[in-house]
Amino acid sequence: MDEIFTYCGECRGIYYGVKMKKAVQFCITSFLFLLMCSSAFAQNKPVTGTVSDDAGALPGVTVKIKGLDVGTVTDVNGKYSLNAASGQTLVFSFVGYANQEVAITTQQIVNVKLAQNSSSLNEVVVVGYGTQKKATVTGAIASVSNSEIVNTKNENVLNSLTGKVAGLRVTQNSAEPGSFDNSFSIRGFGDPLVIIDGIPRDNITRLDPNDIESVSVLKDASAAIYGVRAANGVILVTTKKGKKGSLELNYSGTYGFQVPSGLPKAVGAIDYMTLVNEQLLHNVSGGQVKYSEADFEAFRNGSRVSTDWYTPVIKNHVPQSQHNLNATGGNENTQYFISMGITNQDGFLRSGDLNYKRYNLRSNLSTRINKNLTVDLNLNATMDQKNQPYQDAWNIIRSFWRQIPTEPIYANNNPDYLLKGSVDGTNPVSLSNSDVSGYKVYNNKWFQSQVSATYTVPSVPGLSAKGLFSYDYYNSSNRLYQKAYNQYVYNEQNDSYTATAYQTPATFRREFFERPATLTQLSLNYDHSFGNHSFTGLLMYEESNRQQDNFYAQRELALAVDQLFSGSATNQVGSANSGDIYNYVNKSIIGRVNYNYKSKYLAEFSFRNDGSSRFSPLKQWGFFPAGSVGWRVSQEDFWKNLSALSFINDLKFRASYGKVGDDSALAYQFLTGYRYPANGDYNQLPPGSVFDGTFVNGAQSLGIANPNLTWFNAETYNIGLDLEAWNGLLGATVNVFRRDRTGLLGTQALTLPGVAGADLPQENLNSDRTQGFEIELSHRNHFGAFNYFVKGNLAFSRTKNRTVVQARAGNSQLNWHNNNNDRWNNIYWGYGAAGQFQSYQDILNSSQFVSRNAVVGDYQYQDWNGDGQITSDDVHPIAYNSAPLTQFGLTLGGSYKGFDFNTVWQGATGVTVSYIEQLNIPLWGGGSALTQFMDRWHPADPNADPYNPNTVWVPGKYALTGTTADVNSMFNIQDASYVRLKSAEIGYSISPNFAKIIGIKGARIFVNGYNILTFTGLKYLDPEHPSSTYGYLYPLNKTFSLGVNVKL
Amino acid sequence: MLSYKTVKIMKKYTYIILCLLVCWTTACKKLDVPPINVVQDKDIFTSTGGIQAYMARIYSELPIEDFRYSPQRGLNFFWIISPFPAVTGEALSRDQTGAMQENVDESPWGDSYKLIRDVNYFLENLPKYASTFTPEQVNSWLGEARFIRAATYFALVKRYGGVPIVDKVLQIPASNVDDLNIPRSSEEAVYDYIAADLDFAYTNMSETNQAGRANKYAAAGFKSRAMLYAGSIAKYNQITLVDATGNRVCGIPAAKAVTYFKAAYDAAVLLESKYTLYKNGWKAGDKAAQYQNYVDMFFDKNSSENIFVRQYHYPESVHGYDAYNVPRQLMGGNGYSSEVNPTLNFVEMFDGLPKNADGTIKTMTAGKYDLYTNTMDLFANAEPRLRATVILPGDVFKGQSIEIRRGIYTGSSAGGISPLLPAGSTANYPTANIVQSSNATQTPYTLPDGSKMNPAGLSGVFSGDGTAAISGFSIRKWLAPDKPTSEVLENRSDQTWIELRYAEVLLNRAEAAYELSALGQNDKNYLQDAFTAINQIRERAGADMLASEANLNSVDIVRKERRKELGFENKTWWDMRRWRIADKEQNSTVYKILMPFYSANDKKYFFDSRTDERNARYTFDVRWYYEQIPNGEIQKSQKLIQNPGY
Repeated sequence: MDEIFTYCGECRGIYYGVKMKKAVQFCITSFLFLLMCSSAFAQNKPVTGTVSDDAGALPGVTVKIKGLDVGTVTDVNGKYSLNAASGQTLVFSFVGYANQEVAITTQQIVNVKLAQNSSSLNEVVVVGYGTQKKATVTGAIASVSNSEIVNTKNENVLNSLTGKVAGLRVTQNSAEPGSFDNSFSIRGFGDPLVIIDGIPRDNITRLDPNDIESVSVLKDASAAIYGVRAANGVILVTTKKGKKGSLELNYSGTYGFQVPSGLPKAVGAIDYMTLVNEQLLHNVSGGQVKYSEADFEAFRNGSRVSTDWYTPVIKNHVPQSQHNLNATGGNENTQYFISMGITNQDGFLRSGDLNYKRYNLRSNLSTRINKNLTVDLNLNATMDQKNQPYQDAWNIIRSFWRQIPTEPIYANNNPDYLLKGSVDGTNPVSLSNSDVSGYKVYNNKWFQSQVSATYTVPSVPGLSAKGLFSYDYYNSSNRLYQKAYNQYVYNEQNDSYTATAYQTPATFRREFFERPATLTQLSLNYDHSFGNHSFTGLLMYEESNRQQDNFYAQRELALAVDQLFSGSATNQVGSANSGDIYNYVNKSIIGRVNYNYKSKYLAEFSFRNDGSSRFSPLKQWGFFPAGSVGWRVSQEDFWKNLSALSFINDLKFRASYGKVGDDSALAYQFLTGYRYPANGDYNQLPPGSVFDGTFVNGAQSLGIANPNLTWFNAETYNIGLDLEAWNGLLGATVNVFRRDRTGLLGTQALTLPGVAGADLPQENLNSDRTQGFEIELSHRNHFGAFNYFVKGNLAFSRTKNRTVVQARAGNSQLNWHNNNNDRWNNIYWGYGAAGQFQSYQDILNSSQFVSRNAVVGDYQYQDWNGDGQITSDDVHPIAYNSAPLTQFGLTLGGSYKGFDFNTVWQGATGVTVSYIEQLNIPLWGGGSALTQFMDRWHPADPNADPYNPNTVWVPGKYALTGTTADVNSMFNIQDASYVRLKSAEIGYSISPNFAKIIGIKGARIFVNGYNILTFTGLKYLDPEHPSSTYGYLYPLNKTFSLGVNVKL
Repeated sequence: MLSYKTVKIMKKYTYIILCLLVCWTTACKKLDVPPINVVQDKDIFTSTGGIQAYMARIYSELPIEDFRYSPQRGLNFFWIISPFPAVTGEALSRDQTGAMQENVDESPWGDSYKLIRDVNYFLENLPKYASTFTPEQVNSWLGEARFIRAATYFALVKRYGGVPIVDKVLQIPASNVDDLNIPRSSEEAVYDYIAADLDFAYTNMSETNQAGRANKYAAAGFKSRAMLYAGSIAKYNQITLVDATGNRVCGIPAAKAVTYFKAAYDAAVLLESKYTLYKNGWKAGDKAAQYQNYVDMFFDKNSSENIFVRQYHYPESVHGYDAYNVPRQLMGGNGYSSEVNPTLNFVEMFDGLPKNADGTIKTMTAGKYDLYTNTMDLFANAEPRLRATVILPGDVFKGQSIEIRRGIYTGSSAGGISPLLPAGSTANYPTANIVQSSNATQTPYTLPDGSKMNPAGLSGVFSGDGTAAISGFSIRKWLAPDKPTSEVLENRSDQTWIELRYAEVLLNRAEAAYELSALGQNDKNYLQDAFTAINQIRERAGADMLASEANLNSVDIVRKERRKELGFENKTWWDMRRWRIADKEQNSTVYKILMPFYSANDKKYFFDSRTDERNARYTFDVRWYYEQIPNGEIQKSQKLIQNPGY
């Protein structure tokens, strides 16, 4: 052995020396090549010809010389001309047709007739732990490729998937830079498992879209191979691999502007004072106005100026850019894909202090070490940074909506003195500026690595063994600087400014999180055919370990330096969040067998035996089997012989059943013990007590253990069909599905008397059912040189509770209201709308009890039980209250010569929004009002008594200021259905000849828009804007960008 | 064609890689990963640190109505803007406009039983580890746990009447769910259970403990409080609710009044000579010193009067009392102020003010307002305790004169100023002859001498903005006298809450003694005892002394003393309930305020005594004497019966 190593060592030294020299040479030559490639090609003889199909000449067909990536496109008459040397091969390709290759010998005219094909059937789709041909897939799997993803330009890959996959629901909640605030699910199931290059990973939102090869969505039992984490379906992301051939450099970049989509403004001074007076007069016992005619006059004649709080805080156009440069190439044995990307996004704050930056770096290498052994190495490094003012964006929005327009930004309009606003004492100009009030910086870093080796067993045809090891490390390191500052009040009596200090003492906080994870796979793969029988098989052992740890430290600053070391010794804080520390191990044995007979009868069976350390030793292991069958009826002889059916190229029926699990139950509930330090905070129960002047952490009982707690199970059923007709003119996929979950977690809290006095553990008590359907249709065709395609999808799903452990209801009415057994989930209970009082006569004639406070324009709620009064008994189901029930998307694109366009339409119905606070109540909490509330019933004469029957009214949408729509009523709940042009792109590619002249392989420029047009019945806000965070969330954006793709 | 050597090398690579793969996979992890963040019993019960951590938890859960309580928000909440004194008539608040019982949704029912379970668990498990400690330690801790259990049951019984008594850790899942359906005990039985726990605690606990934890005298003091409640219920309650088995879950037989008042009296006596009224800076006849002494009492950590306190410490455990309640002109960064504004009704109880024959404040002579150079002149002789409890208009706080002015009267001064409104009017002030400000952004008014003056004071009163001294007074009790304005913030205050001080024990003793005397008990001279206790309180307060026992001729004298001494300490509400007088006091009641005006022509102030300008009416519903048991609990247990009227 020693001998061998010595020998090898010497030999390696020499070898490396040679290799290094070669590498340098290669670098230099490739650099020169890049500079001078305009002259890099030899002069060849011209070849011309016509391309046609059964119907005649085919324009727009790409003609290329194989391996060189130079070529042309046929003209409207199907004619082409290019230079080629003998020995080269021409490749003719056109969407919807089979490629054809013709070797050039001596001929100068090459006419070609292309045959249409059903190319999509030959596509390969990524499935769990492998790939399959689309034609023989038996599960409900949807897949999108890179080209479909990148035509929606967004900083977040999830937003680029919106509307493109039937059953994948993506809702964007906010476009705040760095927040990546989306809700997404498959078929409305819940948070799906995301697998990136075979490993469960959490950074899908931070991927560079240019690095993605494809995204597969496993919607049914095909997800079951992921076992205990797969109940909500699985999203598989595959990144690009290297391609054989000479180095190819691709640059793509976009630069654009973002505009807020639905960010209401507050009223000006005159409107504000009008509303305030109106509200004060809206008092049945008599009211007094606050603002006199003189006050109004001062604003009208300009002696006082109304403050617009929007403009000093918000900028309506802010930039965003993305750049990616990648290189791919390789030889027979080694291929590489190397990519780097930079993403920049500014926020709408005028201060410029809210922004985001991301760097992506990826290297995917594949090398064949010998005939039987291939090694793959994938490395990914992602780093991002979010900068924001110390106060969160939603709080700044809340503040600038609330500020009163009669107050200036600066006390006495002196720019040295920021005003201490009379509402909350806040001033949004201070809050939005890091220089005034400090900042928060969030840094995330992902390092992800995986190495795998595949060994083809030489003695058994079709058998290979594979080992994979991955090590991922996530780290976040945050800096939070709470800066002290002053705001002022001007005192006219003695011309002085009174300062109020904010955020004192200044503090600085550092937070540190880390998440290392390892995953090991060892597998055997088998793929072989015996005559008409084809088998593939997989047997795998997988083990993963995920850990998390954290700590933080905070000090009050002795010096105005934003570092921990400049803190003083008093009130130091340093600890870790114990809830955020974990160490989980999963082990699994996974198997799958696929069988098909003549690609006609298809069957698949898979299982996973999963073990999770999060449960008691009694309940650690679970078995999750799945099976599916398919029948390609179009492959049957009788079908092929029926000419009437020949327009259908492919028709497949399939059905699947699988059992999956969900381990999101709180870990370790099988143990009794204590949480130390106790949960709690200064807003409610503190985490301990103060004894002798020192804070002592409390030990909080974890309550009662449940040793039997385990994951809940989901059984999924899916039947579907895939159809392709007229050689790709029409494609259709239909799925109908059901998922039954049992053992959903619930506690007996509702049924156990409070005197038991303990926090009950979760138990596997409840069950529900989700069902729905999806339809996907596609069509592509061309008219002359104009190619186009349409892909549409529609998905519906809804969940019904089946068993919900429930307390005995006190009476039948309560039972009706509270008993959720066998009832649709997410029902909005509230009051129905029965119009608004149009006149005093209406009030007098009302069939319901009307309080003496009522005025014209007031909301009339539906007297559901008809007892003549509105009480809590009139509450009934009025709306659905969750993610949209129906979502649909339509991609329409095409090309004409060098031009191409692509539009994505997307929409949802069966969705409502309802808001509270300022989006529901004008002048909420003594603040200002949003402009929408000017659209209200009010007396024509602002000083008129609204209780005087002779008052003349002006109608509006809202009731008179001072009357608020019940939050849980149809006056406040609004339909948020919408259709929007999610993205549109128009591009122009320069001709190959021109590209050659300027020395590149190709180039394309494009303009792209995101969220361009929205059609919705919802006024004033973006329909996707969520009601969470009191509706103050940072808005969605519209983006308009210009971009370029260059191939070198 | 590959050479033999190349094949050999390649094979070698293959083996190396396969070996590596095997190595990785054999570095197998076990599934039984112990949880990193779960502490076990053995970690808790085997060290004083562990016991202290357990205590820290149960003390933090103890249901006492401190800085972080309001009837609307319940216990342990930070945002106290509908404060307790604004429910009792002691104060007005812009966020409270009428009587209320506790918000049922914030009911302490569930949390109290959680705490009781934690205590029972401690009582059952500590003895298993007893060998680690001395018997004295173990007994003292057991006593301490029972003190907490008693205080928790007291929090329940004073709200609901009789409640289920849980004296052990209930096993769940229960062999029989009915074991968890525990019916309510009689109100009497709950008080007896509390007495037994506190007796055990008094016998077993040590004399001293860490500040923030109870000692044996805290147990005795709590017993005097609880038994006084029980006695009052027996004597004054009119409501009866008897369950199917004959338990009287609401109400205590009148015959038991003597027993409970005696128990209260005896418990109070146990503290005699152990604690004293705080008089460190007190000087006889020196009102300024008596005032300062009374202020200091609430901030002196070594006060001889403190029996049981809850401490706070920034930043872990904090409250926002200063932020919510400072006068408007000292408002901190959160923009809150003046949530508690003492009513004139409260102020009028005190000595040393000019009074009319009916005891109301005198602001007029012969139908014309009395004029004063400074607003404080009206209060020149006020009882020191009043100044220490209430910021009077113009008094000094944190080095500033607290400016409270409703407006400037610009009318003629000839012949004196007539009332601005007819007597008893609830209308707004007229705008003629009165300049006012709607909020703190004021436009100064030019006085006849050319100088400028804001219409309203820096601390109000504003016509359109409630963040001001809307009653004409601001609260002083508990307000930190030295907190810089930059720290007057929500969740930034950490002064100690004094839950039980010796003055209350003396008042408990006085009341129990008076009641015993009134009930004809003469085993000792109870009236003499009550008289002595009341005068001890009055002397320290700087109030007028009772001349003789004979002057102690009404229970109202004892009660009024209690309301003055313990005002704003969140005790009055419970007193009004147990005396069963809340419904009589709050019967469409509008509380009184005192509005200072500056007369521009006189260059002097006058005061207008009137009803709350907001016309907020208070009515206490009689059924509230027993709070509603949360409906969810009634639904969950068939054996739980609801209180009358819900």
